[in-house]
Amino acid sequence: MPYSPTPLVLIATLFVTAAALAQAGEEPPEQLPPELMAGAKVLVPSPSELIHSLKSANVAKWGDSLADIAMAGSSHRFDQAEESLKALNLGIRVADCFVAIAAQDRGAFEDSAVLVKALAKQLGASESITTAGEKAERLVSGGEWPGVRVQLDAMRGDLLRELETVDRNAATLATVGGWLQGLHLVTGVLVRDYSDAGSKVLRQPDLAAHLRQSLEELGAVVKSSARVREVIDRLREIEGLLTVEREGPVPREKVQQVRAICAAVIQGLER
Amino acid sequence: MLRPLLYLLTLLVLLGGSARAGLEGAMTRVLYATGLAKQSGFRVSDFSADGVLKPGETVVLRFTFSSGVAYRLIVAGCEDCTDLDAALYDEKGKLLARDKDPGAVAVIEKTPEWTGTYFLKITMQKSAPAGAHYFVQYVYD
Repeated sequence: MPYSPTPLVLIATLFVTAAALAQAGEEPPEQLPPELMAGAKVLVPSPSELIHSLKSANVAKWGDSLADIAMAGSSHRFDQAEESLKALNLGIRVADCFVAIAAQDRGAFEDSAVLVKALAKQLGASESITTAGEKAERLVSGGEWPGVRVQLDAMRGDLLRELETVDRNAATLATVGGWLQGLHLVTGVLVRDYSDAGSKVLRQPDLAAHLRQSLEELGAVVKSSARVREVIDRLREIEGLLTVEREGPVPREKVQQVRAICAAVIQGLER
Repeated sequence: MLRPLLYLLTLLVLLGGSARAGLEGAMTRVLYATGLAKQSGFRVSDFSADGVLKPGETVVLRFTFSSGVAYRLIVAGCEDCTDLDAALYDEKGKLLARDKDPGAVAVIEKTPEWTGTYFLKITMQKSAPAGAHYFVQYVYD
């Protein structure tokens, strides 16, 4: 019987084709090397993003949180003696503006905006807020809150970039102040209306650690401030409280503790 | 004496202008994409980053993203870039998403299941030998 190579050729062809198809569909998993993670540039989200992420909150709930701003200090100041306190307060007051926008409260926004202007001017970074500030004020008077937020988002970025050129320490301190006040006000909403789902937005221990490390890397003069040292210590506590499982909630009692720590820190910074 | 100085000054202006044009080219591409996203209801983050990468070089940025929020990261190279890739990793460095399509613009969309740290790796696959500018921004909803 004559030998026919056709079946063998067919089998070989099928085998090679299957192997090629398997290879084409397969992509080896990729892992980011630890040294690249360690050396990554860290970007701190704006208070606006933290506020937005709490999707369970509405205008009324943010309106209630304005009381937290009023309670923190009997009168908000912009004449702190230390430059570091001015920068921290600048960040805090910018966060207040974002919450005022979320609450659609014109009075609260204008009160905070006055403080932002005064503090930015004293820190030598008033250029970035002038044009955006005027636009925001016009939009506020027309009740165009989404437009106000867009202006404030842009202004915050420009303000931090301008501060970096004037005084890098001030940019870091303003970022920390803004994040702390954002956390303070968001935890306030959660304390009043807790949910597991809502609390998940607080899982930011890495960010708390990064902000603490940023402060620890500031110059000796800045770190000699008792208030700055207190912020460093409190950020360490906050980091621990926000450390939870990936998809787990931050328990109600921890949210309350974080809120209390933030409230005490903010109140101390305003003196 | 004056002529060499004028030549040097012209060269410096041209080089500076060229650098600005490169970054502006990358920014324009990103701003066009973020503008489209805004029309769809996205908010534009006040964050942006830029720099220069040579072929094969990478840069890694670290973000904090919130669960349930839709993010769109947009990275673009300037006119000297022909191919730029982006990849998103979780806090443990595990790959979540990537844009490997050829081109000078890379877009990654992700709605995280958990709040936490995320890394964006940008790779300049192909560009002029001296490198190309990149610009990155993100929108969220």
